[in-house]
Amino acid sequence: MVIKIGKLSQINVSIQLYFLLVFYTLSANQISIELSLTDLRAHAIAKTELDQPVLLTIKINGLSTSVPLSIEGIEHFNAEPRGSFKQYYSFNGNNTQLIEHRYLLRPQKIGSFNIGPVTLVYNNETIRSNSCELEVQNIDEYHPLDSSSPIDQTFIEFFPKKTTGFVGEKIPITLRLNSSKPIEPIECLLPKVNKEIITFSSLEKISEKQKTISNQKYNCIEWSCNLEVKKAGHHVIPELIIVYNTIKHNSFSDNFFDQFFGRSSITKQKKVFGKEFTITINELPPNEKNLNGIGMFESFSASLDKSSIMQGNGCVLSLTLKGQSPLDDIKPPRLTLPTELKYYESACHSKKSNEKVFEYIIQGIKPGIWSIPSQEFTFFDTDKAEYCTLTTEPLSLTVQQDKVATPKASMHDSNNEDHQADAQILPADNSCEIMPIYENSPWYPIKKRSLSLPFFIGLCCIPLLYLFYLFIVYKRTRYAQYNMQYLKHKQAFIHARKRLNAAKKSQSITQLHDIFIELFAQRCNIQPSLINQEAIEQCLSKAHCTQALLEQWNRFFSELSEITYAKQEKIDTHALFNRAYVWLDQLEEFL
Amino acid sequence: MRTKLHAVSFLFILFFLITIIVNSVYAHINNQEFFLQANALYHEKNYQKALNQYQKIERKGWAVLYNMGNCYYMLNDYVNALVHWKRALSHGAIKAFDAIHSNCNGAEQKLGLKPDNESMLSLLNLLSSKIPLIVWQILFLLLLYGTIFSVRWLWINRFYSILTLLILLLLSSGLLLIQQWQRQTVQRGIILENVNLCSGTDIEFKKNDKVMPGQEVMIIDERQDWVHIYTHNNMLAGWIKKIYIELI
Repeated sequence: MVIKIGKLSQINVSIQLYFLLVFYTLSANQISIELSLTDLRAHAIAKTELDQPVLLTIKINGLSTSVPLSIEGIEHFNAEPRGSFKQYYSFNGNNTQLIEHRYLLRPQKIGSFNIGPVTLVYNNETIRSNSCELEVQNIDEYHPLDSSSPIDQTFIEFFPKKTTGFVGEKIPITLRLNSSKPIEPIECLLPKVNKEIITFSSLEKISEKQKTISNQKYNCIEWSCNLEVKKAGHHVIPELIIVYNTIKHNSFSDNFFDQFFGRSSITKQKKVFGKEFTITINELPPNEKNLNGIGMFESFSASLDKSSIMQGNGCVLSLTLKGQSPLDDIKPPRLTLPTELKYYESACHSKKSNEKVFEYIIQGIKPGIWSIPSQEFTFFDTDKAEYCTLTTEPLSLTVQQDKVATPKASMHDSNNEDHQADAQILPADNSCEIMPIYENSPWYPIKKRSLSLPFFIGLCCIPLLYLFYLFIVYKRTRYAQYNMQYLKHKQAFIHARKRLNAAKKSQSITQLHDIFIELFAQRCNIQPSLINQEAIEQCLSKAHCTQALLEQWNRFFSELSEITYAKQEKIDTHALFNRAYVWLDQLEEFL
Repeated sequence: MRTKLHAVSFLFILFFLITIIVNSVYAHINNQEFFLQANALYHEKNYQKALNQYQKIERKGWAVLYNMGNCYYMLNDYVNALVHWKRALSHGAIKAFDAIHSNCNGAEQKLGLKPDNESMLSLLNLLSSKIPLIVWQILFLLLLYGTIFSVRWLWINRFYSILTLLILLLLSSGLLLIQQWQRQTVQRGIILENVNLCSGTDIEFKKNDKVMPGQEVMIIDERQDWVHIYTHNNMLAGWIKKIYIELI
């Protein structure tokens, strides 16, 4: 039964395979054409803006040879071929291929257009493709999100404040990055342009806010920069690229460690492209005056921090320029001053975005009341397209004569005009302001005495080494204090041998008893006063000493006690010391 | 023959030594003469000529540099005056320290610079510069030896206040010593013109920060014809071309 079912299933499978083969063989010979419209990132689109590139893809399936095509409905588009791709495959003995033709279409007219069908004639048979509808809108109406593709949720708006300008004019450019999802911009690749003709200033972030476009909320980051073109003509500013990271919250990693090590979100790097734009630059009309700037400037004013100064001293003259154009690159204008006053450029600062203050230090060379004439700022007004000059109000500065100046000099100043000229050339006598010269000090250099660095460090190290020595001694003493018992126990035999050697040297046999008492006291951790024959026996028994040896020891120890406490006339001291040495060796083995 | 050769070589060496001695004595007398002439010209208020005479002196000591600074000041060249006075100070003009300090303040005022007298660092600078380095070194060593050798005795006898005082003195003298040492080892310069700082060794890296003429700066690094500077008073750092700075 099982075998029969198996046979039946085998027949079924083979029949199915046969039908499949027949179907595919027939379908492989069938020619089909497919037409599609996408943007440059291969996203299907139905709407676009004027002059925006659209990719038209024609896929011809099942055709083995190339045949001419006719595409309908592309009259209002500027079409450029973007290559053909062929893919060969063999199926059931028939060689077929998939041919893909690509065209880049740029809409030239606003309206709704029907592109297609594509027609080809093969073996007297006309084959037609599908057709696609494309709505072309004006730039203002267009928005990528209007397209059917839901993926286009990040886009750039990159546009100048005006499309016509003048050579050298700083044209403000706004760059806006809109995204419906949280993103993190990483890098902005400014358009690749000829830097000798077109220059961009560095981007400055203006704002970061939420904005609603087409009923959808967007995170909108806005930057600004200035564009300067040094050559007249029409200039195409190519597209700009922003590289950004998309931030997606990782719901699986909410723990502390993931958040600490930055794994709470998944980031992915992406690029977004801006649109190119054209800018028209006009040549500046001829001008004889010294040009200070190009743009729109409103006012130019001057002020002094002091109206009166001492001769030779300085005060600050501030020139304030206000205007709508970028003021960063405006250089301090040259001052026109009477020869009696001298000036130095000091600092430039901006308190407000549309204001720049140029500071100069004015030094009074000669006493008198001097007028600072009107200062001029000549610029080309890009709004009026003509040269304009802004002037300041004249100011007055009193330079008072230095009190320490000689009366002779003041006489010259007040009475004789010829001598005034000389006074201008000669420096003001300000010798009282400074200390007198040194006449008696040596004119030659005196070698400065000082200890060389290595020697000095060496000297500094001596007390430190002494401190280190003290520390070592202290540590050793502390160690000895805490470990005396242990040390005595460990070095008991060494100590006993030392004492025995000393006793032998002095032939003092009475010390032998004490030496052994001390030895047992140290090894058995008992006080010397408590050591007697019984205690020693207990000690040796614990150390697994044999009975015979114990008896020998008792005899030897009794002998030592007798020698120490009772007077004996004839004793072989040499033999006794030798026996003591032997006993020391033997005890070392047990204890 | 050999004795003759010896005699000739001896004479040659003798002649050589005499020439050197005569030359150095002559140069010494000459330089002394220039110095005296320049001083006289200064008193006659002929500052430019005095300056020329000072410049003729080959190996200039602090007195020459100080006097040159005075000449520049009189000729209203305050930047160069500052350069020479500060150079004199770095050449060991401890005797003229107060004079230089007062003159520099005057020149800085003329240049519109704010004298940096208020900060703790400037006070330390002032204090450490008044005393020669060798004095600071000896003082520090004495305090170090005194503290270390008496620390045990002071601790045992519980003279804690004296011990604290000694340690504080040691630390402060060490601080001043480091300050003085740093002044001698770190290269410094005076800004000659009003220039913008750059963030790199190219004009393209120009920043908005500016340094003023007469401002004293510390030189951190040097690359080709650029120097990396740091200003103490307004804590700015950046690169400028070497031509805008005069080394002290």
